[in-house]
Amino acid sequence: MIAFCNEPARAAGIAPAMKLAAAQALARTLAAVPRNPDRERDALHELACWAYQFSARITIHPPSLLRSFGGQGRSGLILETGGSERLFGGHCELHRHIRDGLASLGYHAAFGYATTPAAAWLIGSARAGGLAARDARADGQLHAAIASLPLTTLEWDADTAHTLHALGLTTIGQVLELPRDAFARRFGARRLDPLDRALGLRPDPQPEFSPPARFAARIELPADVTQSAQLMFPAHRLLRSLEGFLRGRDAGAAGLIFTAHHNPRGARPVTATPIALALAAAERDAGRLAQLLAERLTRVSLPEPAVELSLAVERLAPFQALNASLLPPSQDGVRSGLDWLQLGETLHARLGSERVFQLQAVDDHRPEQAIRIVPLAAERDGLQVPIPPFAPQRPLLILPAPQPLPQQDGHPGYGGRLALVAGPERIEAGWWDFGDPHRPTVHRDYFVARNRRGQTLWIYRELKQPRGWYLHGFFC
Amino acid sequence: MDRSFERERMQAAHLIPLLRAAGPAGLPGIWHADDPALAAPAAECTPSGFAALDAELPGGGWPHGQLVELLYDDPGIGELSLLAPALAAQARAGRACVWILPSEGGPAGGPLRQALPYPPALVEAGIDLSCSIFVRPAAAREAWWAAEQSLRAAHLGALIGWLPTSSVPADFRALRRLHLLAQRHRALVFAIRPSRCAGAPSPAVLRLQLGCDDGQLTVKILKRRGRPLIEPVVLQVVPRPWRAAALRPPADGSLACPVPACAAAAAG
Repeated sequence: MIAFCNEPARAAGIAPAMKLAAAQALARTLAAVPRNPDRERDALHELACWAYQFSARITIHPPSLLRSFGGQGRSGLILETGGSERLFGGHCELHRHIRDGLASLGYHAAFGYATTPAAAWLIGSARAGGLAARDARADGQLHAAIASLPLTTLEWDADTAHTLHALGLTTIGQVLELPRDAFARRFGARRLDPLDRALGLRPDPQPEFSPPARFAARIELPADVTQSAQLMFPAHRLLRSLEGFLRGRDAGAAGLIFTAHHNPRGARPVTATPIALALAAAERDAGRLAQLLAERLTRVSLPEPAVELSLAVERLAPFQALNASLLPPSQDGVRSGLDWLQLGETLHARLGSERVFQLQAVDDHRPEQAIRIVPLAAERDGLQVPIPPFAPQRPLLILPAPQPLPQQDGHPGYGGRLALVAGPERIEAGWWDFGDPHRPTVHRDYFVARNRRGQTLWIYRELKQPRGWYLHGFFC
Repeated sequence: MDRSFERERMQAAHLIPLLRAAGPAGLPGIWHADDPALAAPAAECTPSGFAALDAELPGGGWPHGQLVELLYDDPGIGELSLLAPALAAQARAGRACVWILPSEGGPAGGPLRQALPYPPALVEAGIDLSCSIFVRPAAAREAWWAAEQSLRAAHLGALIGWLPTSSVPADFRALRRLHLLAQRHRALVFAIRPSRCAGAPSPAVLRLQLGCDDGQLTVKILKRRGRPLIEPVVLQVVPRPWRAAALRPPADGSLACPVPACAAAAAG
C-alpha cells in the first residue's frame, strides 16, 4: 500500500492508502521505494540531534515512535522556537535557517507555527497533505487557524471519522461548534482531548528529547563505491549533520571514525574498513573537516566496494570558537595559533602521524636519548631543558643509528681519511637503566673530525668490546 | 658584417665618457649595472648574521617571500649554521618553522635519509622547538606536497626543505609553483638541492652554491639581482680552533678504562 507520494504522483491521482497495483495503473512511470521503518526512526533521531542547535526543547512526535513504528500516521519533530527567535534574528530568519539546513541534508519538511504544540502539529500536518493553512503566531489566532483544517488531521479512528463524515462534518471548526457535553456523550470525552490541547484549554506537557553524548549516523550509498575519493559526497552529508549536532551541544570533535561497510560475500560478513581522522584541537566546521577528510582519503584504499558509510564520534570536547578581532591584523607576524594548527592537521591527515612530528630536547648525556619525538600538539608546556654554560658544541644533524666507519691502520675514514680536530670527550652514562635494551649504557669517546671534502663530523670510538669507530652526526 | 660591428663599437666607445661624466645619478632612462638601487628587492630582508655575506646579498639579507636555493653535496660543511641566525630571529618573532627532512625514498645510500636535527644543538642555536614542525616524507611527491601546503599558511616564518630531484623540466615546474606560493606571504623559503642542479634553470631569485675550502665555508652566488659576483664569499661558520687542529688518534689500548662490573655483567 502507498504510504507517501510526492507532488507529481498526487497530480496523477495517487493518494495514500491506495494499493500499489492501482497506483501503477494510474501512472506508468511510477518509482516505488519500499518503506523501512527502522531507517525512518534513525533519520528522525538524527534530525532531532541536528535540530538541537535551534532549540533546547525538542519532541519527536508521536512519542510511540521511539519504541515501535506502526500505523500510517505522519511523524516529525516539534521544536519550541519562541526562545530562539531573538538569537537568530527573528521568526523569518529562523524559519529560513531551519528550512535551508534541512534542504542541505536532503529533507523537505512542512512547517506549522502556533502557540500550542498540538495546534502546530495540526497545521504542519495539513500543509504536509498539500493543503494551505494559516499559522497561529498569537493566542487569539488559534481558533481561526485550526477551524479550517479537515478532520483527517486529527487522526481519529476510522469509525468516528466515518460517522462524522456521514453527519456532514468535515472541518474541525464544525466540530468545535457542536455542544461539548452532547459530543462527549456521543463519542466519548476522550475525543475532545486533542481539541482542548490544540486550543490551549488543557496543559500539554511534551516528553523532551535529550541528545545522546555520542554521535552516530549512517548513510546508505546509492551505488557501490570503489574509489575512496567518491566517499566524499556522502561524507559531506554526514559532516553537516555532525556540525548541527555539535553546535547544539556547544562542543567540538577531536576524533572522527568513518566506517565503510561492504556487502557480505556469500554467507561470510566482510569486516568494515575504518577510516580514523584525529585532530589536534576540537573542530566542528563541516568544511574544514571535509578538507581534512579529503587529505586522509588519499591514503585509504577500499578492499571491496562500499555500500554504506557511517560516522561515529565517541567523545565530545569543549569547543573554543575563534574570536574575530575588531582591529586589523598587525603587520609584524604574531603567530596565529589556529593557522599553524590547521597546517599541522593537514600535514598529519595526509602523511600520517609517524611522519609529522615535533622534537624535544631531553636532559640526558647519551646523545641518542637526548631526542624525544612527540606528535603535534596545540600547546607545549614550555619546559626548556637548561643548556650548561660550558657545554661543548653539538652537531645540528644526528644519525639516530650510528654508522660504523671503515678503518685504515687504526684511523677512521669517511670519504677519505679523517683528521681529528677536537676531543676526546668521554661520555659514560646510563648504567642506572639496568640493562634496558632500549636505553643501553654508553661508553664512548667523542671526537670532532674533518675530512678532505671539508665535512665536519662527530664521531666516536666505542670503548666496550667490540671496539670500533662510528659516525654519529654532522656539524651542519 | 664585421665592419658594421666595428662601427657600432666605435660609436659606443664615444658614449662611455659621456655616461661616466653624467655621474652616479646617471641620465634618465639609462641605468648602470653597478647601481645598487637596481639590486634592492621589493620585499624585506632578514640579515643572515654574517656580515661578509650580507654585504653581497641584495637587500642585505635573506629575502622574505622569495625562493632561495642552496646547492651542495656533502652534509657537514656548515650549511645549517649559515641559516641558524635567521631561523632564530624568526623564532624570536614567534613565527613557526617547517622542516622537510630528506625523504626516505631518496638516493640510495644517502647519509641524510635517517638524519634528524639534534634538539640540544637547535636549542643552543636559538631555534624554538615548540614552533617547529618536522616532516619526513616517504616519497618525492609527498615532499613537494608538504612544501606547498606549508607555504599556503599565512603566518609561516621559515621553510627549510631538502627537496628531491627528478627531471629538469619537472623540477623547474615544481620550483616555480613553490616560488609563486612563496610570494603570497612573507616567509623565508630555503630549498636544499644537490650541486648537480647548478646548471639547470631555476626560478629562485637567489642561488647559492656552498663548498668548503680549508675549514671555511665558501658561498658562491650563482644568481642574484644586480651584478653577478665572481669571487665566492668565505665565511667561518665552524669554530675557529677546529680549522687548524689535527690530533693524533689514540692507539688502541691507550684510552682503555675499566668498564664497571655491573654494566659489564648486564651487557655481557
